[in-house]
Amino acid sequence: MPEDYLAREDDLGKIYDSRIVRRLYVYARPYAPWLFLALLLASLMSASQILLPYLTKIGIDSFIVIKDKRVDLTSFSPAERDDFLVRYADRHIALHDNQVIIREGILDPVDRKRLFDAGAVDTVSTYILDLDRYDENSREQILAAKTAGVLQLEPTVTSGRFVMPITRLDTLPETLRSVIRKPDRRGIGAIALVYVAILLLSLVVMFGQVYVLAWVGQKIMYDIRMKLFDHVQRLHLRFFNSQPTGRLVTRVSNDVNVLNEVFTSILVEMLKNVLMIVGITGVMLVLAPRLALVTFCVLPFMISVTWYFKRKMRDAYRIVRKKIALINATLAEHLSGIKVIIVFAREALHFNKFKEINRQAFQANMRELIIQSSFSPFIVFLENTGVALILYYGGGQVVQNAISLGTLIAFLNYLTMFFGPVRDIAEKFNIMQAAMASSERIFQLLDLDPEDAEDAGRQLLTEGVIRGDIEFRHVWFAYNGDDWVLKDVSFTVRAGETAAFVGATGSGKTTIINLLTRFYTIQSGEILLDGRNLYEYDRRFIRRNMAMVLQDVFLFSGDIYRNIRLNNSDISDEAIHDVARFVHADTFIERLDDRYEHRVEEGGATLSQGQRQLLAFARALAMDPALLILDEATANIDSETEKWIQRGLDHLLSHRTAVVVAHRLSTIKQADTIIVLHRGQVQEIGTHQSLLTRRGLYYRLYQLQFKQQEKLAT
Amino acid sequence: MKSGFSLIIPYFKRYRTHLMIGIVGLLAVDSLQIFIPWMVKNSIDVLTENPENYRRILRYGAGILLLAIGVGFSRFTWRYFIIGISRRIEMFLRNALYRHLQSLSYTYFDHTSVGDLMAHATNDLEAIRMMCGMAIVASMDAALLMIASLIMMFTIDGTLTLYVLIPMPVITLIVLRMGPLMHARFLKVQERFSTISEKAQETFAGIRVIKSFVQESAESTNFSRINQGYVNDNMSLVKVWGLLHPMIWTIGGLCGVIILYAGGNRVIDNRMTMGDFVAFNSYLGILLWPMIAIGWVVNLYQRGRASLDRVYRIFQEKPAIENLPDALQPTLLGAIRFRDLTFAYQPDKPVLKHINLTIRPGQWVALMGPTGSAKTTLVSLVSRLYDPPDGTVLIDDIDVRTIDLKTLRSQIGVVPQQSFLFSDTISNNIRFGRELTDEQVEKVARQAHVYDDIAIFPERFETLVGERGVTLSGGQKQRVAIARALAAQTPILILDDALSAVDAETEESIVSNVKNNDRNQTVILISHRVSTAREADIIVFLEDGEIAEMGSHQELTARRGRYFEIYQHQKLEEELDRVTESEAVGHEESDTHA
Repeated sequence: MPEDYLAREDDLGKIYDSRIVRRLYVYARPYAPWLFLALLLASLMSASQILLPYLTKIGIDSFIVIKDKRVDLTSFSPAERDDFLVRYADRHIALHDNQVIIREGILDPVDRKRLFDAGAVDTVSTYILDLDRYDENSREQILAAKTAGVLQLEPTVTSGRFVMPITRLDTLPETLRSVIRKPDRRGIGAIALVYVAILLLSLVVMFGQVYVLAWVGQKIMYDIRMKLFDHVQRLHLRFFNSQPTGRLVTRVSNDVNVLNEVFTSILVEMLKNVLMIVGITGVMLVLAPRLALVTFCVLPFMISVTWYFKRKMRDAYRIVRKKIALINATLAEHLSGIKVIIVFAREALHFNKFKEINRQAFQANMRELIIQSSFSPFIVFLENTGVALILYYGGGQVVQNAISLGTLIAFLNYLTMFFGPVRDIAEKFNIMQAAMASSERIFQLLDLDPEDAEDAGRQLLTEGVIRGDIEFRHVWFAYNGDDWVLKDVSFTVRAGETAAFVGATGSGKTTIINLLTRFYTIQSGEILLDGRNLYEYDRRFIRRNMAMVLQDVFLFSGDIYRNIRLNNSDISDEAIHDVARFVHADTFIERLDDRYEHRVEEGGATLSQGQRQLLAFARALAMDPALLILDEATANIDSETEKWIQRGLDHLLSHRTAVVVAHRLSTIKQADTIIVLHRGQVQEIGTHQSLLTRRGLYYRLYQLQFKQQEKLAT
Repeated sequence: MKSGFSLIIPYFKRYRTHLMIGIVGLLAVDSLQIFIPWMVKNSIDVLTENPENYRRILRYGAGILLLAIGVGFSRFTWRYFIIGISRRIEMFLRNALYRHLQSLSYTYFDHTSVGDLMAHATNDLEAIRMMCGMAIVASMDAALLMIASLIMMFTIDGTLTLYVLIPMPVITLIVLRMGPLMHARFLKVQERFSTISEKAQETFAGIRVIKSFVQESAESTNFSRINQGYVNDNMSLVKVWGLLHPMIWTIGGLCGVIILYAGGNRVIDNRMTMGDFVAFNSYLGILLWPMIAIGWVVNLYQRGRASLDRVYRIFQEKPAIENLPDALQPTLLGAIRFRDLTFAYQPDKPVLKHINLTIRPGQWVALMGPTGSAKTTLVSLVSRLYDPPDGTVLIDDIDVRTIDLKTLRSQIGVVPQQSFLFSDTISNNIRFGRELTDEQVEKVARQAHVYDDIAIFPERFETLVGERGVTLSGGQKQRVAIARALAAQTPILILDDALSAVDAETEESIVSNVKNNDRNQTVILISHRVSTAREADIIVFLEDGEIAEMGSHQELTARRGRYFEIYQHQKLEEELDRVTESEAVGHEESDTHA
């Protein structure tokens, strides 16, 4: 299983995997309403962004550029005519039964096409003057000008509404013209206000969308990260031995972050982009179908160029990333080994290596730069081709009155808005691929069975008092296959006694410890704890009742308190002082800066081996376990520390069941039972005295020591 | 005034042609780009003023395409040349930094963490690159575009331009104010992210302890606190970041409204053409970018400046140990003499006191003593890793300070305490840049007792070690490191507690291999094991930086001092292990015979 897991490490798989997405959905479900809200806000965003150029178009066509046209409605049926008159009721002026004057820009595309195609629109533009639309003052000015003959107006059938040729407007004195155009100005003002309102609204919507989405993403990430962390902690110890820690850390840190992208940048942003593209396309098609189709000619080129370059860029970037990783790795290594380099005077050699890697990274960067820089000219060209097409073809349509000027201008605006989402989608595909790969790796890890999976469905003992009677009956155990580490091992340790295991490296001493703590399961035989099968106990229950001191003491970053009490907040500071005194750790702790609040870095590099061992004793004692398991340190410790350790040890071992992998003769001598192991088999069992009288292996051992002392004495 | 800029200015001088081409490209982009809206304006004006001539638009359209080609080409040019310079600067600075670090003293690395140096070589250099590339480009680009578009806008309508300019600086202000805030919060997010990694690292590395003491749930709770902190930090970043873009967008939109309203009125009053109106909008779009860019550039510049200062400070660090003007290049025989050597890292805190020791060529010296007795310091002075006082450390009666560093160090083979190997093949690690035949490599591997270990790897001496290759055990690493030192064939060999992870038997065998080779090396050996030390010509027992005992094994055991005490102790432990082993084997044999 772990091997499988390893092999697939560097795969960069597909862009979309429905199986993975389904599993991801499980984590998103609790936040579905919020995700939906984010989607809603995103749609609102797209809508308002599309709306804004349209507002400008209305402003231009309704108020700025005036082309009021005489329109012949004879081609309409009476019903259609009535409908037409109702629809434009506010802005039209009926002249005769079938002729109206209407502002050309406000005609909707369908009416426009029909009327223009029927040749029902007069080519000469007029200006409609509706007295109802002016305030008292302006109305008087206009009427005064009219009576003075400065302003010539033709009446219409509707009272208070007049018309004049548009050309006449330009001949009027500026003040008068300004007065006449007042309603148009008001119209622009109203549009501007709507525009501002939409802007402010979108500000809120935009921020809301980003915030909600980020929140959902973070929440999901939090959940997955927690679940993963918890799960990994509960995996079998065997798994940790086969995996570099760094890789597991990457799963919990980086991979979860990448996965976050699935929900935030992909799910919602992608949808927003699609909405934008669809929306703009729709609006363009409705406004001017033919011009839209002509404009879209640029699209296939745009999409293929984008696609091509994004791929190229991705490949180039991948190389860049690899090279940068190489620089970092080399640098980290050379800096860590700099003393070796200096001591051997190999500076030049390593510098040249580094220079070469650096140069390669530079080249990769330049390649990426070239690709990236070539992309932009294509885009500039294509965008402007679009502009030119709209201007030329659209211009022709404007001249032929097929579309309004406002529509043409709206098209120019929409064109620029169109390309952003296209580019964005191409970019998102890369992220998507990475996210899928990360998700897959995370799920692979989550699919591994936790260590207590083997107890599934079994009733386990989870509480009670453990006295500490231990019995091994014909135990056989192998870490893998037939590689027996323990062969038919039997022994008994009575509660409250100390058992010492003696033997060479690889004789199976540490394995016995691993079995007692249920880190591994035996293949045959029986282990009894207080007369019951060990495997009937919940592993955490057992561990709660025993404390382990390992040769290699692991210290957590935090202060001394934290390292002794771990996370058991019910152990008071005073209790910690007591246990530290008890195992003689207090002497060195008192000498540290900040004493018990002295910060220990991970791994505890600032403390000596002996000091760490004493801390581990204190930690074990603080737990006050029924059973103590101890792997004595063999590493070189100066004799002063050794003395301290011995004294700490004596206190630790008294009055509790203890299983000790012993290296010190003093420990061995005091043990109630000494078990001599060799190559996984028990060679001798007994007390110090009984083994001596037996004159076996242990006796020879002791004798040697005695002889040695004698020799030294002379 | 010397400052960090003295680091980068020479590169700009060196690549001034690139710089000039880039600037010309930039000028071309901006000046061509500004005429595209003008073409649009003319086209629209044709449509509104004299539609009968609308075919003229064809000309403007062609003009737009030509301008676009020009813009595209020039943009490629400046990007390639100016960004290229910044990439070059990054590369050269990184090389220079690396070179400089190598020249620094041992002490510097005692006080500086690899992580910090890495951060300088990556993050800081990146910030400097951004300053040299993007910041320069963006500031010039912004200035040019601003000037050009303002000229165009003023040409169309001065008053309207002034109106539009009112909200513009707000954008710059926002970017300026929010940029650093965002950066600060971003750093916090990153910090918290490393805490997540550290916590996971610690938990998974200490999983045995966690499982043994049933701390899984408690650790999950601890982790959840960090995890929640990360969520909170991210959300506080989002509050700034999520507001920045919408705010810029909104203010840009407000400028658009001004054009729509005031510009629209002007068109109504015939004071502006429709084409002007459209062009004005386009120029607004162009003008928005410099407004954003100014804020951005200021941030880039500040960050780059800070990074440049940090890097500059490293460059200011003087190599503590340098060659004297006319350093000697002797071929050494290997006589080492310490003459009343007193050495201190910090003034008034001597770690070595009045050391007098004479070692003849080919002699073996074992250094013993408790941790902190300055054994490593003493041997470091031989390689002149730190500078001893004048005339206190002599090789072949030459003061080490007068010997050329490379000459000196390449004649001393060292196996350091922490046997560091590079992620390279085993043979390259042993060769360490020297020209050696495969036979020679194999020979030293045999001497170092690591040949058999290597021989079982499928790729033998070509096996990669380290993260990407096989993980060697501590003992294997130490023995490869010994092979590396032996391969140097130096007159002096220093073994600094180099065999701690090797069992006593192998250690003795390696030592005798080294002893019996044909090179007659002077060897200084730091060891905790009496079994190794006892064979030495001189055993020196250091305590608190002073020679407490000195002499041969016989002399020292007769003395019944500290050495004797340790000897007695170790003998016991060793024999215990050894007897267990041999006895057990005996048992097994008798079992099978029975």
